[in-house]
Amino acid sequence: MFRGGLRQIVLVLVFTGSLFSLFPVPAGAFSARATLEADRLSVGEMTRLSITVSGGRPTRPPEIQQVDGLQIRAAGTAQQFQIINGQASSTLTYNYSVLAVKPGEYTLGPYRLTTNNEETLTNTVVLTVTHSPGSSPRTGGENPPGAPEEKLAAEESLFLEISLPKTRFYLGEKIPVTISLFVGQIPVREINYPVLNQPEFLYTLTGPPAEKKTVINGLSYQVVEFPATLIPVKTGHFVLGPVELECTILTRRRTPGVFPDFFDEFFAGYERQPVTLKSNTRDLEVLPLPGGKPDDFTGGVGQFSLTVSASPQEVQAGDPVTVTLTVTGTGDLTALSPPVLSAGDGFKIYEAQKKVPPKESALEAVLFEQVLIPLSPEVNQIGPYHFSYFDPESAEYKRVATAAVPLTVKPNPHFIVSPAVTGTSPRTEPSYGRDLVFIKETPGRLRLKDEVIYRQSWFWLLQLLPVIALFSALYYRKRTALLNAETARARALRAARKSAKRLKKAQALLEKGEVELFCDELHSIVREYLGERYNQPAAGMTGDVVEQLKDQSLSEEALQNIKDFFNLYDFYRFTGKELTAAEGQKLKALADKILSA
Amino acid sequence: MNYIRTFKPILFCVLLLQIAAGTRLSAGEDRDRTSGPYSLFYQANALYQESRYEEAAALYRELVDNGYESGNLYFNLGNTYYKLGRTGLAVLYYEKARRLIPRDADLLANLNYVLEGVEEGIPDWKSEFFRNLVTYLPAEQVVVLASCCFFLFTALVIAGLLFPEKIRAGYRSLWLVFCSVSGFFFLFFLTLSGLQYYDRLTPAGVAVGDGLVRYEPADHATVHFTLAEGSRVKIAGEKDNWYLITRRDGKRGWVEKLYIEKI
Repeated sequence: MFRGGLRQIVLVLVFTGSLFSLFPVPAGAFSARATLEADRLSVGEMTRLSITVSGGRPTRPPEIQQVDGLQIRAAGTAQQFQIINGQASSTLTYNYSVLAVKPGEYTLGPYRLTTNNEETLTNTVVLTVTHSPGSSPRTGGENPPGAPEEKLAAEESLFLEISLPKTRFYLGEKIPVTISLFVGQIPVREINYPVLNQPEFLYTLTGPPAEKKTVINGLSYQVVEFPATLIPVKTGHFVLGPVELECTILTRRRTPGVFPDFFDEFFAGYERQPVTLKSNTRDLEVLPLPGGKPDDFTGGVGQFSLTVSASPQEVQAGDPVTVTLTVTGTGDLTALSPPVLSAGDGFKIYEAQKKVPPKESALEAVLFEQVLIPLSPEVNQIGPYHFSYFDPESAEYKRVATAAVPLTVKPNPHFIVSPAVTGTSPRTEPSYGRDLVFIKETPGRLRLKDEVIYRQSWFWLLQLLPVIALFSALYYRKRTALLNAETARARALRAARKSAKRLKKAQALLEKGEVELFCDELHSIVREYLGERYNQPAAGMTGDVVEQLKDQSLSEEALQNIKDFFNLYDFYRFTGKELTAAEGQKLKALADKILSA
Repeated sequence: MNYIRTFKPILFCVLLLQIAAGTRLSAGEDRDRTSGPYSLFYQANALYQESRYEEAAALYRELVDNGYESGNLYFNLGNTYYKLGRTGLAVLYYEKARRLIPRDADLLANLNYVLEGVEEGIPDWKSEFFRNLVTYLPAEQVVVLASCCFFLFTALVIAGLLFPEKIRAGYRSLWLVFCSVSGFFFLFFLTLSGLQYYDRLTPAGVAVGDGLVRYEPADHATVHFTLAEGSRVKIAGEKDNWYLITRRDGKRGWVEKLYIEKI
């Protein structure tokens, strides 16, 4: 009973609410008011900003601009209905959570709200953010070397910083950067890796983040450092950053009231608030590589060294030797081409292959393996190998070379040097690139355009064959089914077919002059025909059968023919009178009439 | 074993057809190189190898003008025109070759290479999919395949009508599988052939020069965009000396006929 009453009340309330939401609210002018749940916060605390609209329904929510030092996020809407002195009114409230990130005094608003034909502005509200309790800055505090100065002034509690070793770089130079997350008094969880979306640079994180503690302007910070590298791929002046990092912070809601601090201390619930931090930006210049590139420049920008080893170092002529070239250095190793072999005479030289260095190697290195085949015992060394790179520190091209690797080549009587592979003649450098594939040597199916098969009338006539065959098969199937059926028509058809076949044979007997045999055969044909067609026993059939066939809707003439046939046959059969050919023909004429009836 | 015995006549017929086709092809390949259209083709190839591209193009064109065609002939003509710096004509003949040898790797490589610098716009995936579908097989091959599937399907149905007991006795599942497969492929190739026919109702063309595409078929009309030489277009209509063309990215406009060659 009680439950049913409660349901009714709820239904009435919902219905009333729906009515109010459906109809425009006439009471009062369109206005909006902004309020803060708490106007003083410490860093890391959160409060609620409410924008209450009355006298109309805005077409869209107010546009809330983000304020540096605060994180403002939408937290839903609420609607309220009132009936005062019989006049209905409603208010709509947009709620936002405001998180204090750094100290300062912030003015929020005014915010603009519009209906279809009206517009209004909210009041402004002032929010004061102070340092967290117990972390007030000490003046004249020691700052660690390298601490970001602009941040010292700002005194933020959570910020992201990108640091560069210098501001002028060369194209392709590998730039070590450190992205540091400074965490002050705010508890931070779920820190993601920093992200940089800038097509002018190749951005790579180079290792796991490291943590340390530091003091800036008297405030203690936990610092998470992300080592990364940048490689500029375009020249010009650029603004690097901001780098973005997503994390979650735990915030305490500030409750207004007489004893806010007391209740906050005991009942404050922590909320998880996802935030996206943006780092500072840095101006930098990317210079092109200077002209005068050496011939053996391999594209390396940085500082590199080269070591070479060969295995085996004692071979027979014609046996392969694998040369391993290891390039180490500070630059972008992935962009390097293989070093150049300066004295290749006496070898068959294969192209050097880039290999992945072993994982256990602590050094950043790139390996090239090249296979050489010594062609004669006169060869006694491999190399030297060399290559040039651009050193951005000294802004000049430098060359690095290895010493030659000694090699002992024994004569091999089974090895015959092909003239094509001797290394003694100067090698012409092949030109790499793309070009057309060569023409076809044969004409393929060369034919006149009109010879295309679907333009030939015979082809389309040929397509009729299966159709005709299909219809023929269908007809045959139907006919067979009809013949096999036990109906009067089927019996008639079967009888006609059988008798037609036998008649041909009987005719042959007549032509041979065997008239008696012919008559017997004729008699048998007619009997079986009548038996099958009219479902009568064929054996012992005589002229009396006419009496039984009278109810088969046969004409008088047909019945008379049957009677005459049997009578005539019986006459010759039982009187023993010899049959002439003419009489045989007469009997056949009667049989024809019976069979065609 | 029973299957083999039953399908022996069919296998025999297929074998005969194969032999006939093979004989016909080899006869084509072995034709006399010193006379007739084959002779012209080999002469043109020799001229191409000597880098005498103008003369090679003239011989290949002679074959085309006499009504001959083959994928290789069009391919070679495309190469020759590219060597002569006529990108538009090169693309035109590669596209003609594509209708006969659509999946030839050399042809696709050369076409992609030639089209590298040609601004054609980016087509949407639906029209690209449709284009790939209708050009995947040559029209003649599709028609022949549809016909073969039709013959096979009809033969199986006829066998079903004439020898129902035999099929019911031992080959029912095999008969059903063959019927379904041949029927499906017949419908598939028939549809594909219809799509190819539908595609060719709107003629395609290639820009043989950099032409201005205008909003109206008149010299004074506002220019919509520039049609790069080698761009492939659909010819949606014509008026006097103008074609209404649609570029691959869907941009439409009027261009003078002299800039377009029909494929």
